[in-house]
Amino acid sequence: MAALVFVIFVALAFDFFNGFHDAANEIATVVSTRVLSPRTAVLWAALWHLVAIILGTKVAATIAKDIVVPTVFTTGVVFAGLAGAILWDIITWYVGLPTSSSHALVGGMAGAAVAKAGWGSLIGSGFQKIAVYIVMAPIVGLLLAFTVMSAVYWAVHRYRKVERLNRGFRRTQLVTSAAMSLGHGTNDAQKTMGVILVLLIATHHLPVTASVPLWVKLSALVAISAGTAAGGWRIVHTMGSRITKLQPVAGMSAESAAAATLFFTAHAGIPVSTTHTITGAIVGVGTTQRLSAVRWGVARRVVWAWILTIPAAFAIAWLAELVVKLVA
Amino acid sequence: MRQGRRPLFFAVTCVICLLLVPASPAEFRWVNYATAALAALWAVLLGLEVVAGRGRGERSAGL
Repeated sequence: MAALVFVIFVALAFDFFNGFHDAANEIATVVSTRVLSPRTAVLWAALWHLVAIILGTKVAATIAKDIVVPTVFTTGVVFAGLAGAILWDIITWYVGLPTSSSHALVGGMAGAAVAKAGWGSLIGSGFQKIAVYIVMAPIVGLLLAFTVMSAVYWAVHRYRKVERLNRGFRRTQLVTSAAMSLGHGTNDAQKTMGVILVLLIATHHLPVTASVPLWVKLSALVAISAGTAAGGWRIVHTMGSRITKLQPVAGMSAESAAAATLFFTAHAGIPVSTTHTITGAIVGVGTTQRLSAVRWGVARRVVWAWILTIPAAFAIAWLAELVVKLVA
Repeated sequence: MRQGRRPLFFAVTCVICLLLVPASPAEFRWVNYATAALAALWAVLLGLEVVAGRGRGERSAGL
């Protein structure tokens, strides 16, 4: 029982780190367009994460049942998987790379499961779905953002009262940033819900067919909100100003496109990265400009971090599981 | 990215979406097709813009 409580605590700590590391991405656009101060933006985002409790739990079910054969999970495997994800998150946070906590979690869980029960413990179709959307989520975000931005330009390009337009877009950004936070809460907090759910099933506290209990939902959302409120300024800097310079209209376009993508994937039960999605959307709005608005060097560095995340978290978790086995 | 490269960028995006169709879950393949169609549309429109020589100075200032 003590081990179970400890690992649930570690899962919530991962969620907190996810908020700290990942959730800052969605406030980057409102900060870089100066719609909100960093402090207010963080509190605004934290509030909307909590509202995500009213949305579904399909992503949690995917994490719990579609990646690793559920019978492989033990308290030790879940702990090792979380250790891999958290360590990779800390490393990438330290060097200021906006990588995906979600894919770190998937890689971590897979690495721990393989160390415990071999490659047969992985569910190919679940991995396939996630792998496809590693690429598709940023592409969908990019294309939607480009389309929204182009449509707005087309609609207002003869309008000369630029200051008034920008004021309007700033107000709209409050709504789109809230939608983005809601999408992030729906997608990312559910991953922790899935981890805790699988832990409760593995320790026979819940039947295999159980859905996510209310206390699990609440604790995961509170943890990710607290993590968001705690900050993550390095990532804000990277996402908001180093990939491309943003105006209010661009921030609104990027956020609405990313939020739409996140709502779709959460509804479909596909765990995607908020980081991937908002980066794709920011690149999309940058691409509408005439010259080299997108700083492809930074974007390329981010892509490398994406490529490394699953294998790196896998390897760390694999080693962690071996240590757990030795200690146990 | 220069204006002239954008049609190619969206054409490549379209091809990537189509290449991922076989790997996508059957119930979500429509997303690949819709995304590929949107990318193809932008590739064509931006290509026409480049050909028509209207690729510069189109945006309203300050937005």
